[in-house]
Parts: sequence; C-alpha cells; structure tokens
Amino acid sequence: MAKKYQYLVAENWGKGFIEINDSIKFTISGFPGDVWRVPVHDKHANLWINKVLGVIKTKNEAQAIVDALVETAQNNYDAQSDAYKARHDRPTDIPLEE
Amino acid sequence: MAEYKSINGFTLQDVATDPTINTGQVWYNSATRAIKLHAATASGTWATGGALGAARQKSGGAGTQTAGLIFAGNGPPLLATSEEYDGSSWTGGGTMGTARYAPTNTIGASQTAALAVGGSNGVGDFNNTEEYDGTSWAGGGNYPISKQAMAGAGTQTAGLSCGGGGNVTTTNEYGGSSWTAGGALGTGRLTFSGCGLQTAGVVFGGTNPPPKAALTEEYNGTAWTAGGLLNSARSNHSACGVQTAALAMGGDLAPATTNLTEQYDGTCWAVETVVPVARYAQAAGGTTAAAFLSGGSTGPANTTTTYEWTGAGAPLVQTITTS
Repeated sequence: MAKKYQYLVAENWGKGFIEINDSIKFTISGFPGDVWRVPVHDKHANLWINKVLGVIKTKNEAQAIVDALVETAQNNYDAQSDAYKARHDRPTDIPLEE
Repeated sequence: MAEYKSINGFTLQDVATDPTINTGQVWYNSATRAIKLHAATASGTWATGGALGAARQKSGGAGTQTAGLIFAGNGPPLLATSEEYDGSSWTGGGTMGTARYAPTNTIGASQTAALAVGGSNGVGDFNNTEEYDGTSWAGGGNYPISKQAMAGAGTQTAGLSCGGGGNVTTTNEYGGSSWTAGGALGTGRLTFSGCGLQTAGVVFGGTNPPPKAALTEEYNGTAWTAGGLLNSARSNHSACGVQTAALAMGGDLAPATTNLTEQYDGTCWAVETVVPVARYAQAAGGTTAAAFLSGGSTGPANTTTTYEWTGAGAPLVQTITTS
C-alpha cells in the first residue's frame, strides 16, 4: 500500500505555527508528544515541515512516542478512585495510519 | 474564447504588489510574473493561536477570537485564574473567588462581561455565580441548585443555564442579579454545550448517560424544541455562535477523543474542517466566522494550545496556473 502520510515532531509555538494558508493547502493532524502528520509527496506540506523545523519520524517512531504518553495516562487513570473513573473515560490507544 | 477586456470592459491590471481584497478581482503581478485572483475559502480553516499560560480542561469560555476569555478549570490543580486573549497572546485576568472545574461552559458574548455559574471541586458541586467585568470577578445571584457540567447561552445580564449532573432537565434564566426558572429541557443531560441568546439559545450533544447524545434543542425564552441531530454524538465538546449559526468542536466520542467540527444552520448540522488535534473539554468563544478553541485534554495530557477558526468565505489570493 502506498504511503499516504509522513510524520514529524515539532514544537507548537502558537500563533503562526499553523497558518490559515497552511490549512487551506493540506491537512495537518496533531497527536500527543508534538507528533504531527501531513501528506507525503506534497510541496506545501514539505515547506511547512521546513518552516516549523520538523524532525521527520517513521510511522513506528511516531507511534512509539504517542504510545508512551497514552500508556502513562492509562496507568494514571487506573490508579484513580472508582468515583473518578465513573466521571472520566479511560484514555484510549491512538493508532497512527501508514 | 472572449477576451478579458470584452467581458469586464478593461484590461487586466499590471501591478507590482497584490491589491487589497476585492473578491473576484483578477490582476497580473509583474514582480512575481503571475496572474492572480481574489477568491474565497470554500470551507473553514484552523490555525494555531497563542498558548495559554496554564494548561487546563473543563474551563469556561467567553468573548471573541480577538477578545476572548478562559476561566477556571482543572490543571491540575483546580484553577480560579482567568486569562484574556487578544487574538495573538493570552495575559492574566482576574482571579475568581471559587476555584472550580466544569462551570457552565459558555455564557457571555464579551470578554468584559462574562458569567461563571456552578461547577465542581471534585468533592461537591457549587451553586455560586460570579460575574466578570474585564478586570475582576464579583459574586452574583446563587443558582437554584448546585450543579456542574451544565450548558449555557446568553449574556451576563440575560443568561441561561440548563441540565447538568444527574441529567436534570432544569433550565434557569439569569437577569443580572438572580436566577428564575425557565422551560424544561426535553432530554436531561450533562457535559453538553450551548450558545446563542437567552431568547434564542441552542444546546447540543452531551451524555445522558450513556450513550453520548446527538440531540439538539432550541430555546425561545420560554420552551425548548428539538433541532437537527449532530452527525457525531459527543460530549465534552465546545460550542460558539448563535442559534442559527453555531459550531460544535472536538469532544468525546466514547471511547475516543475527536477532532470533528460541525456547523449548525438552525436546522441541520454539516461536517466541517477537523481541528488539527483531537481534544475534549476545551473552552471556546466567537462565531462561525471567527472563533477560538483553547485548552482541553488530548487524553494523555491537558494542553495550553489555542486554535483559531476562520469560517468559509474568508478572502484568499490564488495564483492562476495552466496545466
């Protein structure tokens, strides 16, 4: 299956990190751990990666970053009281697409 | 093929810099050697905004994209602080008398006239109301019952709060100093959102519990009537706008957190551009044309992130190419 996405890590500094023109030209999806997903072989996406000083990660590397944070959150949730669990959902796994 | 001059009565402008916005205008930019036009976006877009000073979820929100307000919430710790947004960055605002999370999520169209009601500290729910004047918080009339996770609409002097913990159908209206009973919701629920006015309000989603609700109800100042169903039932989402032009953003789809955005036209919900990062329990303010969405949780962590929404129809300069 042809790869649809590329992953990167970049710190979201706020205003200007994603601009309206970026969103118009391609879809940016973010995940825990400052992991971002953009289309592969896309000129505008590549220019954005350059702008945000993104560090390219393989899908598996990106998944490992996300999984580590989710697992920590799940462990924290599991340690909470039943009263807390009745009011909050357990953090769920976040599978990344190829 | 007809020439440009025969259609418009004048030749294409030859300019060194792009002209100011006039939708439909076409010109030649001699500096970049490109033919360009002023178009408009076909769908809404999200862009990043300034980061909050404190990561928080289940906060209250009010105001607009360029004059926004976020208050209370759970960091942790439980927060009594508020922050004000100018469209670029957040600065500290007044501190509330009572730290709390899950106050009624949106009451107050203005950064300088917002209302906080109810909420919880994790041990018990509150019934106290606080009013913000842009500088400091002052006590208002107590809500008739102690509740958290209600939905709201209106302004500081004509507010509305309804539902909440226990899935009650109760609605109460604020006149600027005290609460009086209003019409009962058709479906009691909590962790839902609302927007609009006291006499033209709208609430949607929530937990009933379970499952998540897709229900929309509209208020006319006296009674609630059913509106269109959300495409994705959800809770802990954010809302802004008015009864005939509202946004639902993010939330919990159970079990997953969502990044889905939907826009209401007073009758139906339409799927719009997704938020870059899936989150729930954020604060929001603004309109379907320009809104902000701040804080909330991605699941693993609470965030300081702000996203700014620009609705469809925003000016857009495009370069005309041949292929």
